[in-house]
Amino acid sequence: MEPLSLKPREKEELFRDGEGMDRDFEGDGGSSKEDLEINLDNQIREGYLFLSVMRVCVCLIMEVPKPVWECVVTPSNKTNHIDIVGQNNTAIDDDVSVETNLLDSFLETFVGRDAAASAKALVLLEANSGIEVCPTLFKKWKQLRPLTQKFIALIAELKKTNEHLTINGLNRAEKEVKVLDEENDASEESSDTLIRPYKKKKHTPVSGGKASSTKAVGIDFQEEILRDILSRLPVLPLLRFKCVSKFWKTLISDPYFNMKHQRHHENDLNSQKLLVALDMDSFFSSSSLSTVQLVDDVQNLDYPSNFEPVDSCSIYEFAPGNTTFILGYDATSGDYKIFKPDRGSDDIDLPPSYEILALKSGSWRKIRNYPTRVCPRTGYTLEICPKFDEDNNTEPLAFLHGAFHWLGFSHRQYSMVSFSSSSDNVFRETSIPELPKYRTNNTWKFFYGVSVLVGMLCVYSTHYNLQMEGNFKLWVKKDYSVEESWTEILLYKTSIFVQSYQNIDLQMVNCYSAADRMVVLYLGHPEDHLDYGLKLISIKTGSFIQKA
Amino acid sequence: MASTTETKQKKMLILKSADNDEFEIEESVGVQSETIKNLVEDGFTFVPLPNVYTKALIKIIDYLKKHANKTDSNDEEIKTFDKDFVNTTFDDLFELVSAANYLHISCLMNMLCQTIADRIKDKSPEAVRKIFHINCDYTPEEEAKIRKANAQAFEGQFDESLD
Repeated sequence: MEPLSLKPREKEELFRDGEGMDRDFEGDGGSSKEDLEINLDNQIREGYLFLSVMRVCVCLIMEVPKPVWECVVTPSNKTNHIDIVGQNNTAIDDDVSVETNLLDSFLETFVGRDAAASAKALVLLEANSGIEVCPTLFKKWKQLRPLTQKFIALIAELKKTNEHLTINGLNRAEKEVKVLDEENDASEESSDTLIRPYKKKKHTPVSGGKASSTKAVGIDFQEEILRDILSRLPVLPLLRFKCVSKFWKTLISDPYFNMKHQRHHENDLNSQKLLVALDMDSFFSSSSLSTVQLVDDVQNLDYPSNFEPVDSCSIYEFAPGNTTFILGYDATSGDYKIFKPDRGSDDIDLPPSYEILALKSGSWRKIRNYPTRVCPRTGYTLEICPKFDEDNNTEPLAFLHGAFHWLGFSHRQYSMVSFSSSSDNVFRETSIPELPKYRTNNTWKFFYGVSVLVGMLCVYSTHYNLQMEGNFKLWVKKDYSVEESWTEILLYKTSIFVQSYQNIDLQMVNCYSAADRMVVLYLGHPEDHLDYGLKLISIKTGSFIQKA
Repeated sequence: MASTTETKQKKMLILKSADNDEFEIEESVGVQSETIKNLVEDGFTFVPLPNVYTKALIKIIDYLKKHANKTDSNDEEIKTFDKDFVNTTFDDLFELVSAANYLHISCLMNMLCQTIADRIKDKSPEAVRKIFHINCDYTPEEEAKIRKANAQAFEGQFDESLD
């Protein structure tokens, strides 16, 4: 194939080949383009030239992929554009800039450069603030490329013309539209006859049951679909697939893709950032996994106050120096927050508090206002903080829906407390399932905890005695906003675990979330600090929901 | 404007595939596709689908019909159906995902993309190339460089199979 000579030809086609245009355009529709398409649909009658321009512009607006050509030429004719990009990037860049300039001056001719055009565009965006992309575009107007701004202005102009027509003579306009429609149909018919044999030929091997290798299915994939698929992959396969082809690498390294990947995995924060304490003398660090730059992006953090690091390293939620930290992503500010509860001290009359660190600012802030509850019996006001043990360690916390969650304990009663990471000092108290009432005495022990499982808040309880009897129960809150949606999904007799670990009594069970619908249980012995490893329980999607 | 559509029951739509085969379906089934829904709202009852071939369209209509009749009681049945639906070759999945994308059926898109992602995540880059019909455009040196830069992603054994 002659990759480079293909470019200009396709470009010409883009502007000349009217018949193919609207189907091409529609064929490009990804879900995020939907709104624009609706607008654009009305405009089809305005002429194919505009449409061609829009098609280019929509691609530019929908943006970012680095080889701009990839966007522009996502074609209905099934050319191997993946190869094209690979061939010679500089030449393509030149092409792109030439095209960008041409388009720029073209748009300028039709829209004008003045503030009035901008204003119209902004009015349009504001008027359509119900459409998801519009407010974002409106907010980011200043940062948008001039080309993008002009394009929006063009849409505004066209829309206005349309409304104008409607107001001034609905009938006449409708008639015009009808005529154009008929013409449209006619041209569609004729283009159909042209296209049909081509498509038939292309399609035959597929309908025959097997795709022929020449069809190169991956290649007529729109970039957006590929991006959707890849964004669902964990980080390691993504890194591995960078070496599939240059195009894949470009796609995977793209900032827009990273954003999408991040958004996709937002509920699965343990794949996003890793909070580690490197070693005794080193720092408390946060490393980003989401940007696919596993090792390069390590940020050292200050220690919170009253914190003595020890040699300890664990993922996501851990207890160096026996202090619990939790990391969460605050979508509002686009920042990561680390939360550390502190139980204070009775001796020096230090009330419970917590410290919070925003990764961007890099410093800890101490806040002393846990929510409180008045004890009905004694009249005392007590903080509802996580339950601390003697070492200032708490039962695990969870991060979900932009808030840190813990089981607050006060007046012998547990409740779910959440603390919004975006607006400080907003606490909410919500219900929890009815936990089994255990008494701690010398023979029986129990733990409660909260975690996130497949994007759902979950609560678990572990109850055991020294004879290795006991059980583990797990509930999930199927709908985060519905208090009644707590559902018990697991009940395990602890002896099940113990069997495979002989002689070791189950002392602690922590439940972590995992993307693959697994419950991760941690077996350990808190007294001698021994780890007996992780136990995985797989939960099938079906049975998971079924249990309701 | 909308009153006429409300009074009529079982309004039908005709979908025309890229191979010019026509299929008649109930409007309520079709509007699960955003693309079709938009056209229906504009008063169309004939929907040409120049990007969707007959083979994929038949499967997708099956899917839409099944999911249009979703109730609490046939939950399990639909799950089985979905599982069967995606149990096919990669090439078929690619056809379907292109069609679902064009038709804007988000639940189907979601299911197909997730299926493809799940099925490739343990594969080797070589297998992925074959599956996606991609020719490697790296020189051996370039590829070695990428592998080195992402060494931790290449530890262990990967699935070389193509299904």
